[in-house]
Amino acid sequence: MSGLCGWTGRILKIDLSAGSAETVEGTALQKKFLGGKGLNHRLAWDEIPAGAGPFDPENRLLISVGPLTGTPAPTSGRTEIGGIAAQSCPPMYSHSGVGGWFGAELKYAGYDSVVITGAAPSPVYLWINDNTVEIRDAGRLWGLGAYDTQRRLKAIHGSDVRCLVIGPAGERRSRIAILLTDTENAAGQGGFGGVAGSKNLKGICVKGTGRVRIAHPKDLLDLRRELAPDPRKNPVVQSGKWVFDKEGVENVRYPRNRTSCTHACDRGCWFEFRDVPRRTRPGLHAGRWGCIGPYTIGWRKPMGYDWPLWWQGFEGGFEATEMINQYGLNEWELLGGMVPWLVMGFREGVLTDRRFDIIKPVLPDRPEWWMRFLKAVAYRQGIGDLLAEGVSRAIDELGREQYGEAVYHGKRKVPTPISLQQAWGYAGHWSGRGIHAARTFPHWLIEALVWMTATRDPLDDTHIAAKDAWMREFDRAPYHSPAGPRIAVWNEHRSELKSSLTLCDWSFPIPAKPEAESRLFSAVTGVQMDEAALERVGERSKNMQRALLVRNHDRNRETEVNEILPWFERPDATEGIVIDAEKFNGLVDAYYARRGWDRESGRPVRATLERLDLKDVADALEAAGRLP
Amino acid sequence: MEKAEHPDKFVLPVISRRRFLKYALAGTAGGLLYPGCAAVCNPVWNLAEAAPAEAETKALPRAAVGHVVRVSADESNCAGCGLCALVCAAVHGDAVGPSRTGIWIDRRPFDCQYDSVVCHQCDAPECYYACDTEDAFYIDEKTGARAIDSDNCSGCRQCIEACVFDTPRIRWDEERQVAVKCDLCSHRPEGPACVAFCPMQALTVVREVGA
Repeated sequence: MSGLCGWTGRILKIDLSAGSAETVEGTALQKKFLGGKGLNHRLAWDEIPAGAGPFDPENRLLISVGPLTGTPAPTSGRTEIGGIAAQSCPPMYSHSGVGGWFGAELKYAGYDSVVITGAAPSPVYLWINDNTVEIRDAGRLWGLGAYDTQRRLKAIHGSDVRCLVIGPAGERRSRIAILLTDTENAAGQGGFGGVAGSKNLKGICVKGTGRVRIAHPKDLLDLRRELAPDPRKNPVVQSGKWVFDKEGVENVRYPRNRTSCTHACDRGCWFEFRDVPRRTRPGLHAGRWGCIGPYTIGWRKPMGYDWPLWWQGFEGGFEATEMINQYGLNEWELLGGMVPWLVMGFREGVLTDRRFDIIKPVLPDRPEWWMRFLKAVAYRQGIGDLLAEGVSRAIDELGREQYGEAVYHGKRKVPTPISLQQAWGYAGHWSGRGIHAARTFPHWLIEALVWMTATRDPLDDTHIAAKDAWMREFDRAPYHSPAGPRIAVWNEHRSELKSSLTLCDWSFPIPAKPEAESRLFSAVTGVQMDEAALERVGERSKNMQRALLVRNHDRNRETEVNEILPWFERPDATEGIVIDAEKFNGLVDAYYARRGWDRESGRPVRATLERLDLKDVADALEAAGRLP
Repeated sequence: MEKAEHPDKFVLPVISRRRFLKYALAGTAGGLLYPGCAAVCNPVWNLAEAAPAEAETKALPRAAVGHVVRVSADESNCAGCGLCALVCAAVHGDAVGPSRTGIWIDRRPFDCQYDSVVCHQCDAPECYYACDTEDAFYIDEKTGARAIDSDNCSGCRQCIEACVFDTPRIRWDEERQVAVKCDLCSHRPEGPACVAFCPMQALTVVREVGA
């Protein structure tokens, strides 16, 4: 595919049961679904049979990059993971993005996607060295932490390989296990580490020496300069201050550096520290911190509101983060869900199950507690066996009344009312309740719409951006204005696009430059596509995912509205406002109408699918009796 | 950059490394030949390797001598994004990747260390001496960059083998069968693209006059 720009035109298919690898050449799927998340939707549609569970050999681990990955397009180094997610409740097709440098390396090795099916009889890892693909014995890697595994792979294959690996949690099929690359880049949500573990796959190690062809390199660099202005003329960029103000990381005395979390990133919104002494074990540790990671330090005023739960200080927090990643556990689930729940439950005195003894007293103020707790979850010791299934499943099994409602209504919840029993099995995210409770009404209504059709936490890869005019219109009549569904749909399309191209969730979309994605796409691939045309690809991707959810998981209106409403029927943290179920249903009507989905069932109608070049999908849904 | 005081066509004869060593071992001071040659006593050289051999003379243009210009990295500022490598490839051709770039990052994530690797533009460029192909290796008259003309490169890889660094700072492009190295973006009036685009301003152009 020597003349091809952007894509490599090759998909690597691995069958671990058969021990075989095959490269499929072609660009039809890539040109229709771009790459990353969109390509994963289609590959899942083609390959994952209805009824396949997360740990079944028929489940696929889909690892895809996009046409922009590995190019100078800003923040384009990301990789998208897809498959039946172990963490989702009930398990369903979902996705998780990961930054780092793995995706670009995969692209340079010559692949747009790696599709892994089956299960190896004994632990293996995948070694992709350009065109040479080997399924190698991982007997000596099994049991190692996610850092140690990568160190070992680098010792074997050279320091310039990139790895995506699991830790002990993934080996034990934890539903909150991650796939990790480098020190802090994880495909965190979804439990895809557990999915890899169920396939006996310790990790993937890639070395790519090839190239990605760019149609218009000069246009691309000019555009990059426009999107990421010259830092020499923009001194704010280099202030050295963390753009996201986290508690407890200012004024620490260890060598630190602002750092990028992915290839070609211009933002550097992460920090890394070196020579930090551990609190519970000997030695110094060097590592990165981004996103929710630093909340291991303490949880007093997350995102600016009072929710005092713990404070253990910088070194303890840094060591806890190290071990979370070594064990291969989901930081978001632990910090945004599990540990707050354990602290509140312990204070309320409701953790009466004897299995909790191993982590009681729950004292995250002490670094030693974190070590005991993380080890229990990773190795499934005591209550850790249940906690490894995630908070939602733990509350379900222990009893919602005592372990859910009693914690929510307890006296010590002050001042933020929080439930940790949430939709689709995930801790909340910018929904006005729980973590990021600062989101006020009516803005969390848009989150409710977006979360409703999702398969994970709300705003899994969008943080809701909108033009000011749209927001003003929405604010005037939140339940009735067409602006609400419009903002939700626009953000959903953009989130499909950025995770398909691939671009960073924090950097895109840019409401003031809505044509940025299409210009980047055209500059790299040479395929002329304006903003509207590319947005249609985003819509196709969303409908592809919808069709998959309808076919494989019988997703429908009743299921998704009922999943979302209980969470929003709890008062929000700032003003105590609850959702109006009847009016919300009106909003859902308007949303479905805008989408071209059937109002009763929530399923896409034939005309919508055909408009998006998905006639074959419509035919398949009809054959399955799932077309309205 | 200092303006060259000498006429453009002025060419100074400089002897090869092996021959220089022969002189040096015989007790002849390098400085007698030209002050610039003093700097070729590079500690990276392995004297044991320098077996006596047939001496060759290759002309090093005036532009190459007397000052060295190179891209230099401040690792404490580097965010590890790797944009330098991408931009380098994008201004030199229509493809990006590790085999297309003259600068890259040696990334050691578990030590949180990222070292930019780029041509040192050695005062006595072994790569330049090693190249036997006509017009393939040249010294840019304006910047003094030791550069490869990929149109004329024969793909013999002698320059890569001659590089004095343990990890050669010239890369091999398997697809085009040519060697790739930093040319200080001599074709760009604005100077090296990696320096201009580095989001953290970790790269600078260093000039060592009289080195």
